[in-house]
Amino acid sequence: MKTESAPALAKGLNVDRFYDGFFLAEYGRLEAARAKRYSSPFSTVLIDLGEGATEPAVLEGLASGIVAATRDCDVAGLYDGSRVMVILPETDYFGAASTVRKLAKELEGNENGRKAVFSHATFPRDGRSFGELAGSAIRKADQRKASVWEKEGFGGRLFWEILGELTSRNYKGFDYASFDAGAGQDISEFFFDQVNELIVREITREPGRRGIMYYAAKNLSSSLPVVKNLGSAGAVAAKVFLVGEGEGSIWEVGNAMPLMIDDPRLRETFFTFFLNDETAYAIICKENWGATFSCFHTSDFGLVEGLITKFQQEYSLQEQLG
Amino acid sequence: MKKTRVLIGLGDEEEANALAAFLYGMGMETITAPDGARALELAIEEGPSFIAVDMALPVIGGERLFHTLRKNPHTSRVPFLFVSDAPAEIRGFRAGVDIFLKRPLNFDETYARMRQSLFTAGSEGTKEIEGTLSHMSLADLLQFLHLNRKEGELKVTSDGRTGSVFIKEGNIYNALLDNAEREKALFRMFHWAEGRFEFMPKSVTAPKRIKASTGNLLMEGMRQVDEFRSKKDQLPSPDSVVRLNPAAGSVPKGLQPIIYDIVQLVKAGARVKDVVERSSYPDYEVYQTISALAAKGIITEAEGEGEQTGWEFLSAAELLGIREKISGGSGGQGHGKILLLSTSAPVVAEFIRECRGLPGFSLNTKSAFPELSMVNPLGEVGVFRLSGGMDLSLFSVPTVRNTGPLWRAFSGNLVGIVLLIDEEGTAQIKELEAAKRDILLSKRAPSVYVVKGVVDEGACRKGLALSDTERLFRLGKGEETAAKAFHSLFAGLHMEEKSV
Repeated sequence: MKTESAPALAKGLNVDRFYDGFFLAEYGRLEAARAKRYSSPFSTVLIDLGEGATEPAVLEGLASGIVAATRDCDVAGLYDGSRVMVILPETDYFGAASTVRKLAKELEGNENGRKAVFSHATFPRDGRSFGELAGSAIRKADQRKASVWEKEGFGGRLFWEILGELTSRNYKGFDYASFDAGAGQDISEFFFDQVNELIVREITREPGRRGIMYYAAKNLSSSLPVVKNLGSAGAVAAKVFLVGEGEGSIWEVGNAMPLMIDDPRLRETFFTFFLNDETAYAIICKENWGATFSCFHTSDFGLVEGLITKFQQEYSLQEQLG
Repeated sequence: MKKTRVLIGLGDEEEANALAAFLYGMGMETITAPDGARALELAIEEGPSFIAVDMALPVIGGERLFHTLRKNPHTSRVPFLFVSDAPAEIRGFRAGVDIFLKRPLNFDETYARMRQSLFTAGSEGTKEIEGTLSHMSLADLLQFLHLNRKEGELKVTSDGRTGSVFIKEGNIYNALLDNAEREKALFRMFHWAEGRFEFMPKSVTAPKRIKASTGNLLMEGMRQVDEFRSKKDQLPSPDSVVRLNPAAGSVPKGLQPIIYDIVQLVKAGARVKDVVERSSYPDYEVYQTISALAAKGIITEAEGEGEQTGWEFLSAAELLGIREKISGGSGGQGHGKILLLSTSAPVVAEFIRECRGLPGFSLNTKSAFPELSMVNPLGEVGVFRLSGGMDLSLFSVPTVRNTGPLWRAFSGNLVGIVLLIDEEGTAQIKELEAAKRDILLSKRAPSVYVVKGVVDEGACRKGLALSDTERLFRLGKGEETAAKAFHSLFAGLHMEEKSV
């Protein structure tokens, strides 16, 4: 096996199962053809190592880590001078997302690895050929680099610190926006409930679609509209977690799992994180004096994924994205 | 109540003891097994309600143990919690019942998942009474449960719909059916002559939403069912449109609350069935009130003006285009979405009014903004039920800049975009176009433009950067604008397909 793959190994790098761009593109093309033929998913993960990681010695260390963190059936290689790609056969969006987490953890100990930007693309949602998938992954990596998560260096900060930062600043973009809600504001205090109800409706409308939702509120009760809608729907594949303090009846709500977290910060800040393979949305509202709220919301995948990861890590929850 | 007994078989003794101590603290009984063979023995001897196993359990692995116990009729229904260091595929894994957790375990979350799983498994496995409505009617059944002072949930299924009645100490606390609750839901279920029921004893913690005593409730419910059947011909037709009569003036004060509720709902110019659906009062009372208001001349009824049937709205090619668009997206299951981007709520309301003349269209009663009077409408406003089981929902999103994240968040399964512009909103054309551009950055979908009122077409075209071939549809000209706009939109789908 070693002899067979040797010519395809990335030039100059002494790492097994780490191939050059030509081999990667050919393998990707075949994998795309196979996925089309059998209607099965496959994904690609792109690791943008940046300019600092082009030295062969540095690259070799990173490549070893990448190979170690992936399965035997995955194919990793140099996409170009500073970008590595991993082809993940039979892997859907969520599998690719968990591979990214695994790779990030593996490369955490390496200084250049810590600076790497990860993105992933899945057949057929992001493209139907290897070229389209690679293009999509590159575009996502560029978006990720330009995202608030990277710019503000949220990766190295604490969960509540990030929430405080997001609700105190004034964001005015299409992907990120701040607004005030409540008494005397254009947006009513019920906006949060309304958006949550709509998210629940999106979940129940496609019960077979995987996803994850964290709904954190001051008082959890089975009479909350969000909870009622979830409870009256049939079984859904998406995982919904209700976070906060609540009454006993909350345990009996269908399709939702209560996470009783006694944290005083949850009494004045409530949030919803929602992620599935097509949609990412987060809304965070901080209560001020006089029944007004400073809110922030975003549809940026990187930021939503990052917030979910931070939340899971800091409260020692199961690491999962759907 | 019997305590939940959990069998814990984890390879790491420290972890097993910590989990056992935590679950004991949460009121569960625990038994631990150091290896798979002992776990198998205990599972058969002790009959646990839940089994937590390590995938890498010594002697007999977690997955092997699962398969063995699944074959035993005494343990086949017991939910499993699998714990592993790495993700794994488990043959026969029952989604919603079995749990898979990766280490490290968060005990709070583990407990929450186990509770939910037990709840799901319990709702399937502990039916005390079950039967068919043809053998025992719902009213008789409720009377029986009342006399025996039962507590639990009664599930009634008929014609693919399932309703629930919550009973505590024999009293009816609440009823749920689709989007309806309380007496409305219960009385609807009284109409069911065929179907199945099952009663599951469990503690009911939901608040008491039905105030009437069981005896009164049953008598009133049966009276309404009988009168509804006997007077059906005298009640307004569900498909007729009702409007407030401007000549009648305002409704006097001090009348019954149901009258104000109905008048508010009629103000939106609704079909009778929409009013019945959206009102929280029982169906018969709503029909009767509409009838009485019509007799007094407060509202007028226009028979058959609503839903048109018998003519084709979309061609086979258009339907095929929509189906391909929906199934081409990831995970679409017969549901598509048309986003409405508008400069104001009244223009959305006007567009929806036109849509109501189209076959298969229904105003969404679960809409997040029932009054259509908000500055920034947000939510589903209506649904087209197309042939072949497809749903196409019209979803309105606000276009002011700080609501930008909502555009992408709610554009899943996107089929097309309708941009609605009225004369007051011509200054916001740029925002509207920016919203459309932002959505189309991540999605491919055709769009159409609809204007209302005195709008300068040239300026509008310039603002929207429209080419000469792109049409601006005008609302309120009585030319079936909505239908034409949709045809143009779905033709765009076809063009898109060709370009791919």
